[in-house]
Amino acid sequence: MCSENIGMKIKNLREEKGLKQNELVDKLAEKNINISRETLSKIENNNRTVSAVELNAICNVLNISIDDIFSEDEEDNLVTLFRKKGTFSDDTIREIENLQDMIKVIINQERIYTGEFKPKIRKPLWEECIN
Amino acid sequence: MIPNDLNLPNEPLRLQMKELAVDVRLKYAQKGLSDIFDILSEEALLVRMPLQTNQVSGFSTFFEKHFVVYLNSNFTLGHERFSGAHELYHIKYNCEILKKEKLLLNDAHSIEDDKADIFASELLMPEDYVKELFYKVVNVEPATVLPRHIVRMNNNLKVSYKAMLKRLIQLGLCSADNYKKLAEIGSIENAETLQLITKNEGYNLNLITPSKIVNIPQQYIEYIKSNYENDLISYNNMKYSVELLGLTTEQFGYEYPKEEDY
Repeated sequence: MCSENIGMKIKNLREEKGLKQNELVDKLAEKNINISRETLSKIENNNRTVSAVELNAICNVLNISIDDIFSEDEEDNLVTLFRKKGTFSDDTIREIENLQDMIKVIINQERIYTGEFKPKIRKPLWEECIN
Repeated sequence: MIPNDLNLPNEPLRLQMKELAVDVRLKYAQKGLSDIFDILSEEALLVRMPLQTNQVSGFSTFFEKHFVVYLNSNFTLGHERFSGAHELYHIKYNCEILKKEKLLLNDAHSIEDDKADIFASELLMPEDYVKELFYKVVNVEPATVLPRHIVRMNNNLKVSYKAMLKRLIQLGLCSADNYKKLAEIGSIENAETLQLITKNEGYNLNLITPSKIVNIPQQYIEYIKSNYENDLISYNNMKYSVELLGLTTEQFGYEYPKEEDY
């Protein structure tokens, strides 16, 4: 796994555990791993590599195994998961695909509403031409 | 002798699941919630939609950082409600597995699936109330329970005929010797007979017919409306989203804006 994914994985796992960056930093300090919140931010954004000692401590604090960090992410794809989990007909898989599209739309609308995702709204063509 | 296909749980496990169901019922009662679909909507993104397949009655998933429960409304409402209670167990007690494995299908026969079934039964058909109701509306000896008695019970508790029959046997209110005969009425081949008994007992057929409803929690519809009204999404995006949910733009009083040409 490339370091890019490790940083993102740490961030995701930290958020899943409901920990803020400074909370994780404090817990690491308790284990004698002293990094600043800014350093953690750099690690999560892949602007700094994480050492083996730091990674081990992070896993300890998050109560996860190193394998959890290095395991390849199962893509959020229901169709793939259904294919893997059981023997479903092609018709069922097609229906799951449609259902997945619907769920994606719903979640996306929530993200827009909460400001997590800011869609770039295109200006009308006439306005673009004027500018 | 108890028939094998009844698959009744051992008593310690049932009591363990009963305790969880009591906790869950109390927790949501404090919020004024008692309907299984309302409870699920509190815990997850609940999507009810008919799929033209009987291979999937429902599933829970952890999708794009959201707990999602899907229920196939092409199954009878009684079946769908039971699936909902089953999925509630997974969402509440298997959330870590869900986060890791992403998908739990309710037709994989794992230990957690068995627990989810027992939990669902305890949640939708509370032991004390089933007994109270039985003596109130049926009140016959276990060996003389008839299909119409089960219909009375399952309509009061809003579960399927078969789930009710199993519960009555489990609680010793119906003789296990009659299971096979009584279960036949709940089979697809005898759907018309069950409908007739249900009508004759004065109930509608809602529980034994698929609702085919397309439904998501209201708040998500509000998100779409708000996003559109605050110019965060285009008319076409809003239209596509609401139509995907089986709704129309006209329902919300939205008209195609003349100036929008993208």
